[in-house]
Amino acid sequence: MPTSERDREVLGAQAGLASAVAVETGSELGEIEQVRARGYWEQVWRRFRRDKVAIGGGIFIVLLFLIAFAGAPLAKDWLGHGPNDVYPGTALDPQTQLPVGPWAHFRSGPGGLPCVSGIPCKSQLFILGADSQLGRDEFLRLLYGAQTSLEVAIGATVLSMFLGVLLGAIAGYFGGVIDALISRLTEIVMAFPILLFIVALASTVGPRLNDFTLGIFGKGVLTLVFVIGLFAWYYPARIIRAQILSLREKEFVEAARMVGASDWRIIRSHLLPHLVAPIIVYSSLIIAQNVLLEAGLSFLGIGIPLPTASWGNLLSSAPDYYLTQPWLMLWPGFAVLLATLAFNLLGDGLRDAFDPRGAH
Amino acid sequence: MHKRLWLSVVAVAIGAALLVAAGFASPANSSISGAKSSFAGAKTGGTLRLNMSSSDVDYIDPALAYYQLSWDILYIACRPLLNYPDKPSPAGSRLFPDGAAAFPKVSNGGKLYTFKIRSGMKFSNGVPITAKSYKAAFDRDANPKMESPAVPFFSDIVGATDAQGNPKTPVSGVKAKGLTLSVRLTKAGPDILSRMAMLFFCPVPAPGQKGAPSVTSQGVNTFPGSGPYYVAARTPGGPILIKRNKFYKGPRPHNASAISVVSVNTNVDTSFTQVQRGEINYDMGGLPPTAHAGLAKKYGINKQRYFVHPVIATRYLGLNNQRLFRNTKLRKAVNYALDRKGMINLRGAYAGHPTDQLLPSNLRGYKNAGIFPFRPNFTQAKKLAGSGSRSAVMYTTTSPIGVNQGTLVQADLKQIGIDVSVSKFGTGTMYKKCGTKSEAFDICNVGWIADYPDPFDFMNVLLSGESIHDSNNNNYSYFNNAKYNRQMDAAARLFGPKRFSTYGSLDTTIMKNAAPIAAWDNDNDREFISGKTGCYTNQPVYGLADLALLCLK
Amino acid sequence: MIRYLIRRLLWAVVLFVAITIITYIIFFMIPTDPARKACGQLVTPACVKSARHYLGLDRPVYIQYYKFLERLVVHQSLGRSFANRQNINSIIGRAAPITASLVFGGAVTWLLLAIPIGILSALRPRTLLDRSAMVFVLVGISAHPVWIGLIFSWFFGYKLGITPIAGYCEAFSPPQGAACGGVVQWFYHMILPWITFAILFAALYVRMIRANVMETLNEDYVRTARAKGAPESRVMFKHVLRNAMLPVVTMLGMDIALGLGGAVFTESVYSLHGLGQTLVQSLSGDDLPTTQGIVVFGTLAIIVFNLIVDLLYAFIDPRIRLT
Repeated sequence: MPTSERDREVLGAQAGLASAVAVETGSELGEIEQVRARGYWEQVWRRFRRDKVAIGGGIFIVLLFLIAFAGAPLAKDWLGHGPNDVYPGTALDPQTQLPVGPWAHFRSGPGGLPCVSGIPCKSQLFILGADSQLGRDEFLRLLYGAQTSLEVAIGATVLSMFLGVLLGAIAGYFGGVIDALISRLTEIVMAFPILLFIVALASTVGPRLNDFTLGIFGKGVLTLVFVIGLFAWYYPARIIRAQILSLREKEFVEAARMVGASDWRIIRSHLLPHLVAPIIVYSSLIIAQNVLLEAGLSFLGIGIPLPTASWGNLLSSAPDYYLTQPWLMLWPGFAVLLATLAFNLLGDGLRDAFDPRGAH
Repeated sequence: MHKRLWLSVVAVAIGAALLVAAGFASPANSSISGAKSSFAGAKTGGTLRLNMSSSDVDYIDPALAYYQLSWDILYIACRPLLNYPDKPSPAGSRLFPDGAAAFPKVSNGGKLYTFKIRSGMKFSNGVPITAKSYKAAFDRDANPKMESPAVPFFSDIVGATDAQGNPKTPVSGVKAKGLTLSVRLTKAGPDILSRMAMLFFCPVPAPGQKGAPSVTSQGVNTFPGSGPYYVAARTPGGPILIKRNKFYKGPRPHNASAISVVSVNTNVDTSFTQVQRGEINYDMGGLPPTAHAGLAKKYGINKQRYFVHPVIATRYLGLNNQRLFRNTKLRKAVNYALDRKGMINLRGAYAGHPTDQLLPSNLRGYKNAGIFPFRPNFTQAKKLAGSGSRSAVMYTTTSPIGVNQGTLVQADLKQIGIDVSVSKFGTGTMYKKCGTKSEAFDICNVGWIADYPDPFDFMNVLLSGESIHDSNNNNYSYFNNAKYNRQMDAAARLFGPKRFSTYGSLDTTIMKNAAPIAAWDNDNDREFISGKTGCYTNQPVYGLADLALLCLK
Repeated sequence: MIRYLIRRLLWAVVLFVAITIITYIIFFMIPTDPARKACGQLVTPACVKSARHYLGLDRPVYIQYYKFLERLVVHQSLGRSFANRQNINSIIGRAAPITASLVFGGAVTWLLLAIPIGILSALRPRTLLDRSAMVFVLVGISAHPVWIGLIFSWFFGYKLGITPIAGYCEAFSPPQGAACGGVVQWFYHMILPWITFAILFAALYVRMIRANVMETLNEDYVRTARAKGAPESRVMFKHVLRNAMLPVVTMLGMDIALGLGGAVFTESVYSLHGLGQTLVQSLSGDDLPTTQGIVVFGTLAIIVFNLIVDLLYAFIDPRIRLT
């Protein structure tokens, strides 16, 4: 197969990791392996704990989740307005007609309208100023944007991982025609100009799917999950396939097969446990990529629909204030940077913890 | 959204009052109108460098171009039979015989127009301009291979329909003989003179003559000019080079010796910075919405470099009367809930002034009725909308301002229980979609600039139910009310002051009782030129700087 | 070698057919009534009918696809734009050089950045240089290219005024009346886009080159060469770098193909009207033939590019041919 040589190199430095994990744990029979596995996880945890940077990344991610899903509603209650509330008459500088800058106090009537006598008027605080001439709270939108961005990134990762592991495991385990078919499919997907395709698909199919929310997600989140997930599975699929290929010839699989275990049972209880390490590591790294991808698609105006906040949407409206309020470009970019950095650091730390020999 | 108002497609006859084309509009005195028309420091020669930020001409071929920016260029490259002078409002919107030696002779009960063509005119390539050149434009527009949008504007000329069916058939009702051009109509068309001034009818060398433009639906990129300038080169999606027409001996000005649109679809911030630094003379595409307040403070308004002129235009939300907004109370509720001042603020300072009526406040006939508030009255709106939750689809443009307008409408209507989902399209595409009857939208974010200053071009064109077709509609709200249709028809037949006062009352009656649209803005044209540029004049019909006058200092 | 060549070519053809089928399904089957869209402003029943016939929508799907393929292969035509009636081949002909400038120039930039940094940090691990390089890597793979682009354009272009804020210049034969032209201007306008585009890849390459060099340094043959007393420079160039760079060549081929898509973000920030920008514009204009044309062209470019890389690689590394 002409491209086999390349497969190895694509995996590059990471190719050693999963097989190393497999070698370390994969030589024993099922039951004993369970016991051994516990020791193995302890070792991993001990190694991970020493990696201060990765721990930092992990803590940041936990904080990010807290901020996004608990902090944002709290901040909303405390500030007394929501992330999508507009203040078109009051959150503007009266002289320049531009959105108010950071730490702005202003008074506003209901609906964000100017105060008129006879109607109650409240003081509002915009911590990072207003996002645009619509006068929405940039700070709250950043916090709520974290929700959307995390939902998209994690959802797409779960979907692509699920597809990847499933296809990779089937291809690797059964081999032959099935493997050939799945491998060719993988190559076809790889040959796509994937980003061009995601861009095209998100805008043609996207609008039809936007209303599909399962009741818990924001509008458009699942669209992006599907579009990204459907094109991003090939990478995990290749890794898992390579893993299974090497594991399948091991004695414990032979033994299970001789005892008469079904294929499904062998995959589920004997092979999958060995794949936990690469799945965790790659999930973390792919989440980081998906945070970037969501921001990119929303920047192009084909991601999360109005008025929901996402980091990409914030980044997308910021250049309108390029000349006058360049800081609006900073916040969402920083948020993306920090989140992606944290997931990357965590992923790297986990990889080193799972595979001490690959540590640099 | 700056300068992206759509030109209208007027295919219906209008009142005989317009026949003698002398000035039908007298824009109301606005505090910011009145540019100086004398240019003490005017210097001729040199090359003007222009940009078109975030926009491009659609075509430069006169048979196909139908966009404000394209027409601003064709205006200086063409010598139509009748034309608008290079003057500010109101003189700039009064027709004068340009290619024709005088206004035409009308006979046969208003069905035969005979033009005497000026003698001695030549195209930029030296070919003489005769009646044949004007006929060539009609034949080319009618050729089905051109797929020209001009078709509805002359379908009442004898033989036009036949010509549209066969590429080899000329328009039989247009006859050229030496310097005499006769135009025969199937029925009296009192507005034919305004239509003759449209740049679709820009003369071109006749087939067989040197420089005759080919017939292709992709359009030509250069053609021999008949006005003070001609388009010397154009790359689609790229620069446009306009040069002085040495054979032009007419009265129109020609200050610069060449005009070069050096880049199109430029980034608006880049373009603005270039004008500030003097690298570019003028950006036809408009300014970043955040720049206006600063510019006015620094340069003053209509003094040196920053200019604000009211345009005869209205921006409004077309409320699709075929769907959710079949319900009159709901349409009124939207009118109460819409934050008109907020919508204007999104376009930056000096963008325009709020309105709640269809007729622009600077159009003759307008009566201020104060029907709906400029800031939302949610209490009143909720009372009209009643309880229950509804959902609606809004079409808007992809520009940042269009997106923000969508968001503001979304927020305002949420207050009255309408859940709006916003779809974004390129400007041209949005108008095309909103003009298609079967399109599933409830609200369309549109603007309308006068093709010529008459209430007909707003009321009948935008609200008459008689002209609703499957597609290509201008009645974006698909409003169709038999009583009002009749009243609009009657108003169109009126003359003089009666006509304007009738239209004025009709505007307020319809808005008060039926509220088929939610109007919010009468636009200003806001322009900025570099320090090395002078002689700025706003041409009121084309709504942009008059490029024939613009000069280097 | 011949057999490998044939196999590789056949696979490229299979890929092409598979991808055009998928593209065709997505762009011509899913949207409702392309005929109506083709009629544009003049949607009369007659126009829709003739457009349906012209587009072949009144025939079975496989015939439609065959017609599409025939037009593509025999006439090399991608059709005409719904939006401005231009030939899509010429639209792509204008956009592709811009994207190519960005992607290839970007590739040169990221190699120029990554090779020295990667090698130096591998040779001096845990020094200040190595640690700074690792910070660069982390920031490079975590920062959004769009964001980097906006900040660069604002800082260098607007605030300092030493580069253009955005825009493009033709290097050769600029159209008449263009704002600028020539190789120098082209280079000047592309500096920021190149750097913006290159940062992500540069970071990945620093990491890869560093790992490869460190791995090679521990190989037996390097130790042997050193033990035999070969001069350090010879060991470095002959043994270490040559072997460490081989995977870089393959990766480069794949990443340039990948970058074709990634270019859309850089293009959008710097108003470069390349394939990505044209794609986004065609999407907001409902211009299906253009959208489809760009996706098909992009795919073709990637297939051809990968084919060339594979063949080149087969010449460089004879082992491949045996597999």
